[in-house]
Amino acid sequence: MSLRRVWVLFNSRNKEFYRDPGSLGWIFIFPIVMVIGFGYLFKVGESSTFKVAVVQTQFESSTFEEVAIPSLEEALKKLEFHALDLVIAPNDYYINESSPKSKLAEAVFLKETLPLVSEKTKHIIPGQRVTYVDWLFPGIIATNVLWMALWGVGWVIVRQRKIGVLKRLKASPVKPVEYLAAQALSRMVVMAFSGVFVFALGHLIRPFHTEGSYLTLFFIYMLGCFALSSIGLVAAARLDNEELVNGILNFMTYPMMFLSEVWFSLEGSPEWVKQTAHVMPLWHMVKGMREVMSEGATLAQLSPHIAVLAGIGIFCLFLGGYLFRWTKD
Amino acid sequence: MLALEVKNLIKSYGDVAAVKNISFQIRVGECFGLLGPNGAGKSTTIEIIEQIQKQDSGQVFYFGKPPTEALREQIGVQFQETALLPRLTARECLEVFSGLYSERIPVPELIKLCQLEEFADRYHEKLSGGQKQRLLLAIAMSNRPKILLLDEPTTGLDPQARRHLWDIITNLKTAGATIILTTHYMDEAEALCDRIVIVDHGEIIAEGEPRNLIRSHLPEVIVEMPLSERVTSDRVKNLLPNERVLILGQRLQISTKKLDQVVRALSDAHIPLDGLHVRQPNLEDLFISLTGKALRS
Ligand SMILES: Nc1ncnc2c1ncn2[C@@H]1O[C@H](COP(=O)(O)OP(=O)(O)O)[C@@H](O)[C@H]1O
Ligand SMILES: [Mg+2]
Repeated sequence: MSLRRVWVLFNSRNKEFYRDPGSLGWIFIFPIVMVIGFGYLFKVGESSTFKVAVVQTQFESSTFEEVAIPSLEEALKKLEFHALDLVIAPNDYYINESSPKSKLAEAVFLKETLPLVSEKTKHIIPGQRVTYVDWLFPGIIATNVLWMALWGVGWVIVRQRKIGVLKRLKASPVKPVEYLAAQALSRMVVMAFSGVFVFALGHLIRPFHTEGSYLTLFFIYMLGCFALSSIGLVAAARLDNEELVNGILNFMTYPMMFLSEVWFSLEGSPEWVKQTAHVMPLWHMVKGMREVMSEGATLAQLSPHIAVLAGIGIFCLFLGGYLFRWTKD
Repeated sequence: MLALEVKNLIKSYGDVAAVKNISFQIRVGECFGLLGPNGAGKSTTIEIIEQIQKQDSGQVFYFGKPPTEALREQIGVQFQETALLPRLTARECLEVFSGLYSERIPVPELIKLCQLEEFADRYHEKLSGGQKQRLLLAIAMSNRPKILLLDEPTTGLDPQARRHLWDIITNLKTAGATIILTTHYMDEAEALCDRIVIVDHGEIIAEGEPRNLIRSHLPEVIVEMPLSERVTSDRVKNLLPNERVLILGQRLQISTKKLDQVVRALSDAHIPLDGLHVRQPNLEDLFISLTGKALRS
């Protein structure tokens, strides 16, 4: 492997990117629209259902989405992190003081259960300063790079194969791994900038609290970018048809997006759905970022996510290199 | 010394037999031409030599040895159709490609060699046909290749741009480069190539030095005149029963070894001689006499 060749190809891909007003603009416009749009649309309380855990008691309601959690302790932990809006126990109920949604849930709860209310004691738990928007934010960052990673690597390679750039490179001493590394690296630099940009933009609109270290947050973010880019390499290994790769990438993107708790929690979903989510790199990326932001998780505490992301990234990198062909035949 | 040897190459795409048993040898310092109409199998042959395509059978030897990984460092390639990395200037393209090789010609020198000064800092997407071909040639040369392989380097260019490219290739020849090029222009093969093979339907139908080939196959001269009411093919064929008479479009063509007799017979029959034109046969005529069809049809 020649680092000089990687560097040369890396630079030329960077130039291609920043000289294309379309793709450069998109990198900024997409996150701006996402941050503003979601910040607005998902304003606290507008989300239709409240998540409530009913612990060791009975409670029927159509307004609430019930989440089965056996232990009170666990339920309170989830309440603290805004994964639940309300916890109902035999003689008590709990709300999170820092969550406006929780307070709304309480109001609805009190209205629905007016006759019984005197029977339950209200508890207010301090809660993390994480609202739904705080919770959503890492999801927005991750969605943003999901497209950038898969299309920016996968689609671009397929197009270069189709128009014949790769055939010309095949006639040179470049090795597939050098070309692929250059593509992925160039994209990761773009994603690094974009991630910082979205984060800063989010802060401008509404300051977020980050419990853990920014470096750790950046690390888990970049590791997620790496895993997703590698998946892009695998998708692009052989195809020379842009429509086909588009379809395949979409086919991977949507399930990944819906199952990775990007926009909503999977709390209360069937077990198999949750298990499926755990194989998604996006899920580990988002979860890891949330843990750093709201719980102050350290690298050591993130190690399961780090292991999965690094594992997927390295595996797909090698698989992509192994499957790779310069030309279709 | 042989720079390249090709032995019994065969290649099909599905039902299409693109190359049927092609063999030839190229000496060091030679400019060798693969000449033939579109679809003859020239690109397929040259891409097999370049290890871009895989042959069904047959061998390629570089300097007497089968190709290895290191081959890519030693050859300079220009495809018939190619795309460069998007959004780079001509100069940057040269920097990128020469940066991929361990041996390289400095970019300013390449720019001078291929006369790219005028548009070196323009995006390659914005270049004219002739400029783009010169850039591609410069890229092909950027690693000081031992063998330069050019696939239809002047196709689609206007006559002036073609001349320009010929000059550059002639300079390379003078400097001792080993070149293999394909073309469907007979005049190009005559102007540039020391030796050629003529390929049709995937097979070699003639091989040799252009002038010798023509002399041995066509010892005649060619008389051409426009067709008219008084100059019809039947009339001329009756007058000249022993000569080869051909109709090409609106022209009548007579191949003959006895020019004076032909001219006398025509004028005795009061056939107007204005518009009559006598010339030496060229590769185009050779191709027609070998295959019975025109090259660019
Ligand atoms: N990739 C391909 N798939 C199928 N047929 C091909 C392909 N490339 C070339 N051919 C066919 O092989 C024959 C030789 O083509 P080619 O080598 O490009 O000829 P030339 O370069 O002399 O014009 C043609 O009939 C062409 O249609
Ligand atoms: Mg061709």
